[in-house]
Amino acid sequence: MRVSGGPICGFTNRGDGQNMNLGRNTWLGRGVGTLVALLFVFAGTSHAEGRGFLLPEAISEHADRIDHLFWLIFALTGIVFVGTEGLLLYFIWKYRAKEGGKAYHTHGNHKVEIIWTSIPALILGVLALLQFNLWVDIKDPERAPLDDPQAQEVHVLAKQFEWLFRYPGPDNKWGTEDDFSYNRLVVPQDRPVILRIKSLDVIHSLFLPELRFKQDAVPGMVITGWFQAYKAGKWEIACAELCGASHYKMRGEYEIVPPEEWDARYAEMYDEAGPIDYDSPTEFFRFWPVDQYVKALEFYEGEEEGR
Amino acid sequence: MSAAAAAAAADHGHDGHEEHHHEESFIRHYLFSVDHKMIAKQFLFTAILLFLLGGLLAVTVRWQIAWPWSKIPLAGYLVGQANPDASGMFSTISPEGYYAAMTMHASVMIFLVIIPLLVGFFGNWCVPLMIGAGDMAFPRLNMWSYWMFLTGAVFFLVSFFVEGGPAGAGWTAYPPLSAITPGNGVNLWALGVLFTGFSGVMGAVNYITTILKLRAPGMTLFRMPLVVWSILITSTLTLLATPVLASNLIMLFLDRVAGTSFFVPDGLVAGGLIYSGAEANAGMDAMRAGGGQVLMFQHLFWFYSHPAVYIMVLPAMGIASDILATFARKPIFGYRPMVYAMAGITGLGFIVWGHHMFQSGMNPYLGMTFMVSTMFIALPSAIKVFNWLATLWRGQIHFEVPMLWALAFVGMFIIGGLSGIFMAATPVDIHIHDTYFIVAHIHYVVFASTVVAIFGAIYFWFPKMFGRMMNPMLGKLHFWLTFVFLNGTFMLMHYVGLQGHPRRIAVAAMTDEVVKAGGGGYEFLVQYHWANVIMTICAIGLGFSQLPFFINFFHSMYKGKKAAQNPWRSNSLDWAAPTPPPHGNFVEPVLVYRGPYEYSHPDMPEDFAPQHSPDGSPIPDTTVAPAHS
Ligand code: HEM
Ligand SMILES: [Cu+2]
Ligand SMILES: [Cu+2]
Repeated sequence: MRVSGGPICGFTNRGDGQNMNLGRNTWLGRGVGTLVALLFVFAGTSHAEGRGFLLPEAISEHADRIDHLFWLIFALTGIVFVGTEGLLLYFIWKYRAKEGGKAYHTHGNHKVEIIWTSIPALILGVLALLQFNLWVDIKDPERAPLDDPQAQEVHVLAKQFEWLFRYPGPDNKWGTEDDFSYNRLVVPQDRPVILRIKSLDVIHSLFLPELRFKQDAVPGMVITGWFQAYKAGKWEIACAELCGASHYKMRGEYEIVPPEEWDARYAEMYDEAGPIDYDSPTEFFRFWPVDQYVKALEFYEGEEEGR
Repeated sequence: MSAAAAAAAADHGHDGHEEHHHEESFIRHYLFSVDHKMIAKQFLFTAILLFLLGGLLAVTVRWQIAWPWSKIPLAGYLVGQANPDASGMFSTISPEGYYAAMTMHASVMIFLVIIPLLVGFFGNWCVPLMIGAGDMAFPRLNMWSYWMFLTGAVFFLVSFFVEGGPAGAGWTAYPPLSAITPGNGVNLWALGVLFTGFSGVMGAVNYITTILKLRAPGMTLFRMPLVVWSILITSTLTLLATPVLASNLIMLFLDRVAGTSFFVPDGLVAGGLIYSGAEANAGMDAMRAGGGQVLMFQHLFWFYSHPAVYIMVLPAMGIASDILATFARKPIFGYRPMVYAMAGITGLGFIVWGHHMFQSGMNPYLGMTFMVSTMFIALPSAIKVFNWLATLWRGQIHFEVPMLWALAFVGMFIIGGLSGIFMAATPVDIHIHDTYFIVAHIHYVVFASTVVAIFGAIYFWFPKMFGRMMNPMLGKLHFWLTFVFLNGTFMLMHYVGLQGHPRRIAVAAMTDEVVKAGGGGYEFLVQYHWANVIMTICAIGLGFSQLPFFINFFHSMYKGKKAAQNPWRSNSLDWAAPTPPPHGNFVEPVLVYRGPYEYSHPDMPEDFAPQHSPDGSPIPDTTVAPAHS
């Protein structure tokens, strides 16, 4: 893990030992990185390796696929950008008014209109088709690996102004004694992570930049999201939806734990949180009772079978 | 007298231009005027003043992000109510103050500056003059449209002085946050937007009727300047979309003041209140009924506000088209495709609203359909860009001040349109939604394109409005400063946005100083703080860049060089009216012989051919002195 170094604009990173994986570029690195990444793009490589020139580091397959699409669009729009702005500047220079000059009188041309309508239409259409699968793979709960025995489910409760998490405990079953709540998102690497996201008060938005994950937490709804990280480390959770005066403070942390360390770590987290105290449950259990969730799940599964 | 002028005169009764010998009272003339030109000027002056307010709020916002919790000039006056500690010239602001400034900046700019300038000022000024009408179809409704707008503005302004300060829930005002924040800020905000909406609908009815009914003889629909088309199409959007926003605002208002729960769901524990469904587990009594739908607000809001973003750009496209043709001395390339493209934007504009809600929890397959429609709405925009470029091709480009702005409009609109494609791509939008990338997009389309085109329009039509020319040196200074600083301010927003910089955060970089002051922001943004500082400095520069404009505007009004009737040698009918145009606009009835873009025709004596000139040769200035301006 690398800690980003160096004073930047008179400020330093918090060297408080939290060792966030923030190894982004310094001034010099940023310049060189810019050049290298540009070369990458123009060499037809649509994925920037390593530290991000325009995007943060990517740590999941979803993130990689999103970045591929990003660079594809970047290349396409880049060509259009250079082409149109170039022509604009060229025309401005070439056709500046000259003494005695006369403009060419034309009202247009049917053929070129058809050409410059159909070609972009085709490109946009293909671009739209290209992303169907990726979008649905990420967002459709039906495509999430819910039944994968490896999957780790975590509940997320957003409230003004913090992120709370709940785990099914070592037995991986909801509604049992060992469910526990926790104030950080800690999940295993290389295993699907299923998030059930809910909000207690207003709309928030769970934003995990390195996973290219973002999902609003909407009061009155439980929304499913999922990811599978291939890299371990610690990063920051952001809230991306204005949720009140302290929205800017609604920061969280998430950690991806290497697969071989996960079991021990999970047990450790459970010990730290302790078993549910039914007399004075934690906020999480109070505001989002686990039996409510289990009932909904059973109902939903019954519906599925009934079909 | 033409049929058009007759219709307008009949509507005026004794105000008809045939008999305007009597002097109108000051109040009738300047305050409760029914003359479209005076109403246009009322919109112009009011909106320019509010532009100042919106700009100061913007600087407040940027200042706080670059130098968190430092003393900000004027902030105490602006958002003092949201922030009890703040007062006077220099003061720090609270988070509430920041969110109030941010919300009101966007709301003032959108509802009180851009839309009123484009439609209220510009539509009012251009439409009757350009179609050869004596006035709008319903002059009194026109007056009401201004007064409704002013009422809306007053609601906004009053909210700065109420306890708790103005609204702070964002210009999008998503409930439940907007429904549960205490105070009167959001109430006044909702009323303000509602009244500007009334104003918009009144204007829209008027423009549509005027354009369809009061065109001068010979002015067929396809002989209208693109400006007029853009106002016709914009009005259609306004007419169909605004009522939906109104219903939304009324429901929000009722949720706030009458205890309804249109948008507040079951089980909420917020704002010190508990909504039904929460009591069972929270061990508390339900104080209010829930049962509302959170996402419904967003659907209804964007059903209006997406078309509204096109309301904010279509007239600018019309302005740019006319200025480009005039100063390139060339017909618009592909006039009909330009009209169809605008119509296409309107049609598609009604089925893309969901692209603002990709991450909202809406059904992903619904998101997919919105993605496809959004991809295709980029098409008409692209067609327009290509046609503008082709208009310049083989032209004779004169770099007068209005032309600089029109050229910049094209260049900047390309950037805004292209960034739209990134966000239209749903998977990419996952990452960039609600980051500064969106803020960059907004400002490239609304500031760098629309406001730039509006400046072009002001420099272009000023001679007709006030009978004097604006100073070109100051105009160029204003242009270049604005151009440089606006790119300095908004370009880097793409960059930090892609790196994950969320929008709407009062503190971005979690520096040691910030941690000491109570925290906020993110560690990963510390390394991009330099970008925030640059953007803020450029934003302040952008503010000061407007000084030459204000000096130029007010100085030229009284002291500028006297303007000829048609200083830009333009074709459209507005230049056929005397300068400044009298009540009733045209001294003689106008007949239209050709389209508005016959520049550099090989058979014509000059490089332009006014629409009302029978043989295409320029027509001498009208000599009849107007009774009043
Ligand atoms: C070329 C076509 C365009 C496309 C494909 C496009 C696409 C989009 C998309 C997908 C979003 C939502 C992004 C998000 O929140 O994640 C968006 C936001 C926005 N667009 Fe565009 N756009 C286009 C042109 C325009 C134009 C011409 C304007 C205005 C004049 C405009 C104004 C806005 C505004 C104001 C927002 C942000 C609203 C907010 O959340 O505060 N866009 N655009
Ligand atoms: Cu938040
Ligand atoms: Cu939109």
